Amino acid sequence: MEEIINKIQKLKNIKPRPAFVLESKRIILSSVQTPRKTVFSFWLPLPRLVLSCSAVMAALTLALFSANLAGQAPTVAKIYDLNRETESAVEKIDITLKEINYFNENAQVASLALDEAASNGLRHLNAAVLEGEMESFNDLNGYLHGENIDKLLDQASQ
Amino acid sequence: MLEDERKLIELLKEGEADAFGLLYDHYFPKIFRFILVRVGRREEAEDLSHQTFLKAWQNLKNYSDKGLPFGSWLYRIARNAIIDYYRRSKTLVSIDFPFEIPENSRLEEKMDASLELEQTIEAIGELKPAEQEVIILRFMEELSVAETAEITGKSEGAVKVTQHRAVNKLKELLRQWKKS
Repeated sequence: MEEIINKIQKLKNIKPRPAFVLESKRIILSSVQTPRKTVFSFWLPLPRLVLSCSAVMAALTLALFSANLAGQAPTVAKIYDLNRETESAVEKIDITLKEINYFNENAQVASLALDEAASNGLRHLNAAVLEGEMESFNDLNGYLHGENIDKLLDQASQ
Repeated sequence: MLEDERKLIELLKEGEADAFGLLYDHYFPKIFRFILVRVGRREEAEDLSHQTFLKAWQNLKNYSDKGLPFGSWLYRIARNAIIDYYRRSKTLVSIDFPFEIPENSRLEEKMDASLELEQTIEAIGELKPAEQEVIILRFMEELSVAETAEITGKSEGAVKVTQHRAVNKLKELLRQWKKS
């Protein structure tokens, strides 16, 4: 047993080449080490979060693109057509609203006219009434000339 | 275990490259020997030793001090490197490296010593990988049973059994070679 152990212990004479040891050490110590946790380590999740969001966006874009290729989702042209249809519908709604406003205003005017007609018993449309009014207007027109106006003004000033 | 090793490890965890340099100087020859006896080729042993220390340097945050020397962790990395090496190359051990024999020896003594070392390595090469590990760690590196168990991932009892079996095998092999 001792003899064997002595033989094995002699293997300690095996040594690496000093030049290799130095070169290996230099390479290792100049290599990048895995970063340790520091005070600023709490910032580390931020780039990871940004990276994750980017990855999700990329995955969604890829999924949409793949679906387009497979013809299972609206193509860009279809989306454009849909957009145009929507714009046209909006225009139609706009026109309809304008029409509704117009009819609403006219309905109010018509309603007022109808109320007036109903309360006066359509007198303003009677030819005799109209002629009478015209005569009184003419009388008044004739009265408002020259001296009459001066008299009226004097009366008003007194 | 290196003197003030724990202090060095503390410094190392704080990012002191010089501390790693000191641990490197202490452990590199041991790890190199451990690998060389297993793979038998100097160039490959140098590469694997370099890889071992590089991995250790890059994964220092994974090192946890369980009361065992830093070397145990290095031996474990080296052991995995050897396993990977054999998985990749599947070549058998063939000794092709010069031994360093003390300079003051006479030529005849040098040759005898070299032959003896070659025979020892060849004999170790005849053992199973698990037996080789235990023999190298226990007798060449003079590690404790506990440390050997930690490195090889065996129980202390299993290490003792493996050691006993490996020593008997070596005895038998060397006896046979002497006869022939």
